[in-house]
Amino acid sequence: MTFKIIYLDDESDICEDFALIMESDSVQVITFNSPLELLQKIDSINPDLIVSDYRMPGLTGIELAKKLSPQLPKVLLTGELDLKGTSDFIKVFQKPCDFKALRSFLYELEAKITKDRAS
Amino acid sequence: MNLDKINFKLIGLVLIAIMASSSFFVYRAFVEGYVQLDQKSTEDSLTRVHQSLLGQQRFIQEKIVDWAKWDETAQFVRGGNKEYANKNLTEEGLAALSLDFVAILSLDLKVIGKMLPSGQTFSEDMSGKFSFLDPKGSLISPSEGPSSVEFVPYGEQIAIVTAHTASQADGRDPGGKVVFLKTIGEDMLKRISEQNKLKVELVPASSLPDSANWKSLSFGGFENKPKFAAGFVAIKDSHAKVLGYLKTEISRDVLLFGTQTAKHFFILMMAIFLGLIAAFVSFTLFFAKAQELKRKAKIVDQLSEAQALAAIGSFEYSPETGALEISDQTIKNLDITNTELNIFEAIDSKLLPTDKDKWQKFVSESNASNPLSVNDFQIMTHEGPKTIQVRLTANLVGKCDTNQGILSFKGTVQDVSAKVMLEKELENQRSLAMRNSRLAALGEMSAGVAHEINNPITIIESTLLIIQEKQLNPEQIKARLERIAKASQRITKIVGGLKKFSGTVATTEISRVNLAKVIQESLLDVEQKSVNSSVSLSADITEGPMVLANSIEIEQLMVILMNNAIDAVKTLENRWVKVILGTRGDRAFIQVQDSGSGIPPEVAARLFQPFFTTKVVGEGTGLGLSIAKGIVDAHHGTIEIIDTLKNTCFEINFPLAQEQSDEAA
Repeated sequence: MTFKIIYLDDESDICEDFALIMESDSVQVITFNSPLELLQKIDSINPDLIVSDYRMPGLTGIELAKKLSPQLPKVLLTGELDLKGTSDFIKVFQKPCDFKALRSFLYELEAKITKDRAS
Repeated sequence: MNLDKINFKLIGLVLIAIMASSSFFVYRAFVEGYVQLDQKSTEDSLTRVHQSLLGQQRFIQEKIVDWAKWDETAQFVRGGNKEYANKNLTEEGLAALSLDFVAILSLDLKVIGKMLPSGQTFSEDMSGKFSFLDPKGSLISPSEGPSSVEFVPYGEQIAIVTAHTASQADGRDPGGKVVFLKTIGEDMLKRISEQNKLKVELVPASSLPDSANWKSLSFGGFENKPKFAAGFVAIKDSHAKVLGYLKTEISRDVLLFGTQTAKHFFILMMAIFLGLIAAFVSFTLFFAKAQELKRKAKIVDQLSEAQALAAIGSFEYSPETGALEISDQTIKNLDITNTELNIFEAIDSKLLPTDKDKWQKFVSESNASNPLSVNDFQIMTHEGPKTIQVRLTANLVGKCDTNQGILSFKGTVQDVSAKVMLEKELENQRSLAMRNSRLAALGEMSAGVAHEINNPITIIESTLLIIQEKQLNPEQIKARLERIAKASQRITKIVGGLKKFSGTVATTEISRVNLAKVIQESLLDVEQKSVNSSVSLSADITEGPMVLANSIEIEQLMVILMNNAIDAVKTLENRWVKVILGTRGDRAFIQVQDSGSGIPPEVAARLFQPFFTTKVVGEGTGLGLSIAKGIVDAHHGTIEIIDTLKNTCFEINFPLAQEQSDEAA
């Protein structure tokens, strides 16, 4: 069973790279450029984790988080310098980010969640 | 009533003249004059005299006295002075008398106007002055003057004898001693009578009955005040005979005198009355004038106080005549002492050297065809440098007909040092506020800027990791490197845009600015934002307009307007922003239009107020348009909302820079 990560960013280049970096045998990355589009489709995807940019057209990452299920783990990846109200996120990564560290974090999280589910 | 035109000196002189003449009439009436206004008492007196004379006549007629009774007769005739009768006349005079002729005199009192000074004896050369007046000029009164006069034959001559009274012996006739004045001849008598206009009829003594026996001719009967009648008695030995008497009648002159006195009195009263009126009028005028002067003095005080408060001094100066009126405040403002100076030279002498040419030009350009000149000048005073503002008007005074008058200047000198300092301070504060607001805008932008920069860096990072980890063929690597280059260019561009806003304080530099170029640059600044917001950005730019401006501020202005426009339309269905640059007459205009449907009037009214914003909290500071307004104002431009279009449109208007041969800047 694959672990579904949604990555949301209005920069399509980053979306593409994120998918390339993060995808593995057990991890599937679904990317979105618009939070509004995401909200329309998220129910059909049923993701295990969401990683979101902050500044996007239509909604900010924080605003989006409020609209999503509290049970869904959320990670914020942002270029903002000083951001408050990020309590809905389990972790905040600053852009530009160390993708290796991010990948390690996400994989550990995947392992943990998978393990939790199994038990 | 214009009190200035009243000649108070003249009024004073007239008053003095009236008072003096009044005094004169008072003197005449009460001191010199023989005041007798009561006609009834005058008539009474005359009646008494008449009766007295009648009685005298009767007495003499009835009693043809003999010489032995002379005393009695003389007493009656001369007023009952025994001493007079007995001693003086008999002993000193009558003894030598021989009667040659008789003078019959009728007195015309009107001409008795001259007097013999008191204490002087009659002399030939004084004959013209001989009169029957007392020393005070009054007609002879029994109590004061000679009570009788006798023409006494004395040898070949006639002696005129007067009884000069010195004391009052009784109520009727004071008596007195006989003064033997002089014996005079016939010619002299004629002269005296002519000079005194006495009617003298000379009758040879021999023609009188029993003339050889007549010793003396006497006339008397002076009675109380109206002394105008006389009776005559011829005395012969021991006999006296009445020769005749003058009619008793009221002399016109007495009445005239009374009338004249009345006239004098009337004039006096009139004079007093006029004097009172004049005094009243002059007092009223004087009082009004005093009030007026008081009021003027108060106004002058107020003016002077107002001048001091406003630090405005005034002056009036005519270079041709040198006439100078100068207020204390002017002297104070200019820090001068000699008010006799030529005011223009006085100002010139206080000017800082840098302002001297400006002042010369200022004065020379002030003439009748240039109604008001105003300029500021720097002067040096003992308190240090000051800024004065001089206002000058020139007028042609007088000689209107020839249209060539004297040039006269009126002006004010205001100490505006404090104002200038305040303005400088305000300018500093404004500059600081501009800088602060620019920093605030920068702060507002920085979050977005960080995002804009961090994203491309993120792309570079991720691409590098992919190149490291993935097995890529050369084509793929090339594509990845191009992506890195693109991201790098994005960063370069953003940083380049930021530099403009991080401009130093020295952004007040003004130069000839090509508006088209500045707008192109500002379009680049907002390009990314418009792309992000899916707003189509277009421009319709006429090349060429040059303005005198600070290019960074103009660019900032454009960014503010375009950012606002993008923010305003980004949630709309139809999203576009258009910038238009053109010229209209001697002005350049820039329009920023967007797809919005205009600005509601209640918003438009507050649009340029600082901290007014319609944006959601966190998105706008409300400073943008107030900064924009400040920039436009500093460039002598205008900014307004064009509400005749279907869409929202801001229009900015700048004066075009004048043509220059060298395309500088």
